[in-house]
Amino acid sequence: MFIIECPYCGKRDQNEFSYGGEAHIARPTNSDIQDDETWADYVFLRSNTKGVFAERWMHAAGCRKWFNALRNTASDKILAIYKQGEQPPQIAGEDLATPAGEPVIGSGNDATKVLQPGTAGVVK
Amino acid sequence: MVRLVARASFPKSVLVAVGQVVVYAEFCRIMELPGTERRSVRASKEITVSRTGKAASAENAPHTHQIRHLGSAASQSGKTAARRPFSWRMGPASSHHLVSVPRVPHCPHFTWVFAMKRYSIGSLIREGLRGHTGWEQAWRQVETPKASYDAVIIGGGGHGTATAYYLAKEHGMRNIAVVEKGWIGGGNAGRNTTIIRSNYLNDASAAIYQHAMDLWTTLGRELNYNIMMSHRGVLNLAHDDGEARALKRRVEANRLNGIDAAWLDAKEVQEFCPIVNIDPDIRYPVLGGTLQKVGGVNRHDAVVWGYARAASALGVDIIQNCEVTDIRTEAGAVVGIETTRGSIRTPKVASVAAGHSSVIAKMVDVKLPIESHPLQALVSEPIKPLNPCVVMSNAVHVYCSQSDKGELVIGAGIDPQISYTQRGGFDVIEHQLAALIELFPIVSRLRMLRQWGGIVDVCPDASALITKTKVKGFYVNGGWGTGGWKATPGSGHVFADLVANDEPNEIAAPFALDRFYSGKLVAEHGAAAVAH
Ligand SMILES: Cc1cc2nc3c(=O)[nH]c(=O)nc-3n(C[C@H](O)[C@H](O)[C@H](O)COP(=O)(O)OP(=O)(O)OC[C@H]3O[C@@H](n4cnc5c(N)ncnc54)[C@H](O)[C@@H]3O)c2cc1C
Ligand SMILES: [Zn+2]
Repeated sequence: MFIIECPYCGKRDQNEFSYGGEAHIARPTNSDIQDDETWADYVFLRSNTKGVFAERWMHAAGCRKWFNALRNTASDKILAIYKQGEQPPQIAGEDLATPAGEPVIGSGNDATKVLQPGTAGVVK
Repeated sequence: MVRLVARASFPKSVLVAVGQVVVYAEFCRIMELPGTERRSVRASKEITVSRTGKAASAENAPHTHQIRHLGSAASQSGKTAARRPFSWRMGPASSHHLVSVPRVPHCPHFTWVFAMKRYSIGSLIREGLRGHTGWEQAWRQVETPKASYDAVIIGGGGHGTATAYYLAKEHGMRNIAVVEKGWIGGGNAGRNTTIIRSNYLNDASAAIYQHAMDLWTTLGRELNYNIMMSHRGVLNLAHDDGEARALKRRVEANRLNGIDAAWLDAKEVQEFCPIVNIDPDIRYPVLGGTLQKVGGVNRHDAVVWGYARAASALGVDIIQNCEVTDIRTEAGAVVGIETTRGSIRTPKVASVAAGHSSVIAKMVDVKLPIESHPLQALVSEPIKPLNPCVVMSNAVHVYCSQSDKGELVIGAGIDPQISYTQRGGFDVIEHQLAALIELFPIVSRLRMLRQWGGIVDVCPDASALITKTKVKGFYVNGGWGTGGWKATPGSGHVFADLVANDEPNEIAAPFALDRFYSGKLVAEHGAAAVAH
């Protein structure tokens, strides 16, 4: 469970927020002429990023405003909060321990043990 | 008396061994393990063997009907359903499927490439006498992958090891490998609450889950591995009129598909599971529920190890602590993979990575309709037998069974956010326990022992992906979300068929990626909600 900092109200328990999934997914314009591929992409396909990920939250039990967050989904660390309509701030990916981008502790990924240091951490 | 005999003639180890065998035999009987089923039922199971997805020959059809009849009679009486095999018939009368598996010795393809000692009562006695010093390792350790394989399976969970086994056994693909980044069975396979049932609403789902159910019933015997399959029955409770109507509709749909299903009123629910609180004055009164008697639980680790062992015996390399870091393609076709133990050339890559499906697919620029969420479960301190079955409730949201050790095994809901951490929020399990006490006030003072999380891969229609992709030789089996354990053998079986033949069979076809373009979704939120 997270402590999330609402840009309007400050730090609150995650219980007060509802989740809006991946941010910055633009609805296709000219919807009458879009093909099925474009629609499927917009409605169903998601990046489901492991690593730094832009997502939407809504302060449901507070100001009820939507805003965005950058969070590392491999470590759950919230890296930045920014308002609806703004572009995500540039954040360098964290240096992650394994090729799959997991922290060593708690990942259950024993592949770390056969790795040479320094080869890891590509966040796509 | 025993002491006397012991002193008089036998060495103590003989008695210990005999004692172990007696205990084991009794255990098998209680758990309805392979080998203890009634002969007559087995005989009917083995009448015909037709490979999934290929139209069964005309002479199969009468048997199909016969067994279907048996199945529905059993589900109506609700008595013997647990031991009856069910066949599955899909679509118009043209295609009869009798989905069943042969026992190991009968299968023409099945030869053990690597000699492995079979597990038996005999081996148990022998090892009992030797103080258990002679057990050999269950499968071959492969530290270094070969330079090339005919196919590589990414992910050594239940579905991955099952896929490997059926590829080797039914499609003769022996030069293949399972590549696992941790230890096999350490992902969702080792973290789930193992609830098994097949009472899904849609025809496509009913087909694949029932296919799995048919395989589960004989899997322990087929793999020569005790998977502790227990068909103890699964209850799904209804707490309001709307839910009761939806569940009754599901029972009817199931019966039309020849699947074991029955509706119980509140009193019957309590007869079947005495600890359920059916007081009408509680916040979520129990109005009734569905019962699938053939449903139940099994031992997750044993399933993975059993598949790995049987696959390994057929020549499959099981490579642990080996993470796939990239997939190489040339001219739109797979040519190999990169791993933390070196490069491997292969024309076929089958991704069975559960929560990491999107991460693997991204390596070949394939985008999936999957989102990964933490899902938690927990167990209580062990207590005497209390819950004789599996109880699931969508409204109060909890699902619970009791392990053979006596722990209550309790499943939680998913956290809302996308995450790969294998950790969930504390508020989620707090909610679970509130729900548990609502249903079973008797456990209110029970303490919880352990809690853990897995990463589940959820599709928008709550159904799986078993699919080819735009990249030749790259196949995906994923999106099983919160409820894929029950599908393990069926999923592995039809996915192996897809990987070997490059075409999905009839059971797999509805689960292709293109359903998100055509709109032909297999919506199972009703059957699943969050709990499966
Ligand atoms: C708490 C919980 C309770 C559940 N309860 C039930 C239930 O009661 N009934 C039910 O039917 N289902 C249940 N499920 C769902 C079920 O566990 C899953 O749907 C199913 O196990 C997924 O298939 P699998 O066993 O192949 O997955 P996994 O065991 O997760 O296998 C995937 C494997 O891929 C490996 N992998 C990932 N990336 C890489 C890489 N780059 N290289 C190499 N290997 C990689 C992982 O390490 C992992 O071992 C539950 C899940 C959870 C988490
Ligand atoms: Zn706010």
